[in-house]
Amino acid sequence: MAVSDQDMATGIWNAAEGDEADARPHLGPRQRWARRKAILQQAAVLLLVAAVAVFVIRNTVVNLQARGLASGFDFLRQEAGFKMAFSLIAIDPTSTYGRIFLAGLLNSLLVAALAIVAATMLGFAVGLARVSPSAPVRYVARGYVELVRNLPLLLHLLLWQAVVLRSLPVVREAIGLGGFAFLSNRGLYLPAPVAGDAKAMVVAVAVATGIAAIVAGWSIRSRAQARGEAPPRLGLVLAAGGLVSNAAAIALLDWQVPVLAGFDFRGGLKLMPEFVSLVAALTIYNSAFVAEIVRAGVQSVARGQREAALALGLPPKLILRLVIVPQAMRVIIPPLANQYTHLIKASALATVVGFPDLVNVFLGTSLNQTGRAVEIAVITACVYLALSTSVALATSAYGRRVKLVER
Amino acid sequence: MTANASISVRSLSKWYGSWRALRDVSMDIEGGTCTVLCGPSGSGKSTLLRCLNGLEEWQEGDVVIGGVPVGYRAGELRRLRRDVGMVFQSFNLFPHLSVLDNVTLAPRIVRRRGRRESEQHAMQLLERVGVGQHAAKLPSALSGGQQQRVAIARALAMRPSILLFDEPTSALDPESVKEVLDVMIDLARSGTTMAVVTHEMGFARRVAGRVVFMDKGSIVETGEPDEFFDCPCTDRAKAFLGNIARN
Repeated sequence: MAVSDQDMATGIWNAAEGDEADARPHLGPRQRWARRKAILQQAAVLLLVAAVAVFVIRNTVVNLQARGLASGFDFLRQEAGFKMAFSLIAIDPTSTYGRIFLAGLLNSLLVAALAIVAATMLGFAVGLARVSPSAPVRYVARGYVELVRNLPLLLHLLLWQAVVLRSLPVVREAIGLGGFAFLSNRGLYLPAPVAGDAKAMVVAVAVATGIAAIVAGWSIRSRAQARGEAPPRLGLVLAAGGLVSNAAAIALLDWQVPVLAGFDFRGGLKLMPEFVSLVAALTIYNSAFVAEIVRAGVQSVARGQREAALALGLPPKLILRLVIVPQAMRVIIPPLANQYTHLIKASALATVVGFPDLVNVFLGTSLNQTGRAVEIAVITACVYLALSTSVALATSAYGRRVKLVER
Repeated sequence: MTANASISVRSLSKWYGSWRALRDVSMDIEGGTCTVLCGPSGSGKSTLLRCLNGLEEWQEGDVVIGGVPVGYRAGELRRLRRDVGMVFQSFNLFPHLSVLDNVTLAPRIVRRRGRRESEQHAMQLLERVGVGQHAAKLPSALSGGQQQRVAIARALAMRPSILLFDEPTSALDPESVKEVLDVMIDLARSGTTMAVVTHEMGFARRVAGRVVFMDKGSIVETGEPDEFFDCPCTDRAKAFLGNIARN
């Protein structure tokens, strides 16, 4: 329905007269002025941003040309000519810069993923200990948090590096862990399945279904427990079946145990000490912040909630799990996401101890060798932006799920 | 049943730091009766009520419920609280659980009842307090009076022998007050042992067996509702009743 300016201007005053006037959105002179102002302001900001972007890009191109520097992304297909001390995909001197980028990215992701999982678990434990009814437990947790979060992350990293490197024996005297794994100042040696086996696919599928079955069984069990019912047999069967299928799959693989040969171990998987100290430092440092986030979340839950649960005769552990933590999650999620993005970016400190993460091998070595500073910096920046954004999206999706309607 | 549901408070004293909240309080509540606790704010009536199910700790004296002294170990308190339901001023429903789950949570976990059985019982209770049609909603979707009636159903779901009410209508608008009081009157008439902290004189007159008036941590006066409201013996009670009548 077309509404003339005259109608809109007087709409507010006519509103009370009938239902039709009530239903119409009112656009008075104030609203129209506000809208015009908003459009003007946004256009001005857009123009400014575009002008800056044009200036920066033009300036970069002109300067690169003036110095005779090559530009473009063709270098990604060139041979890099260097090896990586640790990579999840095979890297040799004939590997391209593109493959180096991928290997570095995978290393960064591995470090970040391990540290996020470990820091979250440790942080939740310490955070809940911070609000424990037992005073000694609270004090120990408090001491841990204050000690850990008030030291620089870099110090943590160097400390761990010193501990791992200096205090462990040389390879010849490596500490044997059951004869299958070995720990020395060159790193942690683990048995690994021999790659390229025809069985590998079958085994991978078996392990995946096994894990899925365990998770399904466990969630059926815990959901029943939360309702206070006896765990249904299906959950138990699923979990047991998953365990058996996993064990069978793992036994079927050809495991290669690291063997001491000459100056180093051969075979198996070698985790560099730099890897171990990086993951340890990121985990410990961030766990203290996660602990504080969890504590704040738990304390944000109204005291009456605990009292109501107590008055019903619920045991303290279930009060925490069924009443307090689900409500605390609403407060915990946003700063937790913040902490995760911080951790992902801090994993770039790998460079300091010489672990070949994305920044080390790509923004470092690759940039030095190719001189494509702009391209490499842009790619690296985009990677971290994408990672942080996906963390934000994932957590806000989870946050929407646990969000409560305002009380 | 009624003998089991008697409450006896003997020489109860409680300090918050150096401030004395309860001074040598003694009272008896017979099984199957309703007792109203009233008094000015800070008089210790809520504190006394919260001692009855061990939500508050005290320093001296005893609370005996159904012949058993209220202990202070966690296990003893949990067993006691299964049989003593409580309704709070601010409802304290679990906001992340549906109305039905709020009511069935404790019976399932503490009483180990099956899902179907506890849901059937919960629906009966919700119908009884008049909010059956809201069972699937979250508490925040309900009005204050509806939430408080759900809270009463939640307490009843444990099949308690005693119900404690801590200013159950103080956070409600006048229309909701009536909804909640009607439910409470119904409960009192069905012979539930009740201790109610409230200023609702109409409620006290209709169903209370006794009114306990407290001031500054002591019981100043007790009596039948009609005699207490019509001709209070003490000056303090006269002044208090004069004040609430004026408002």
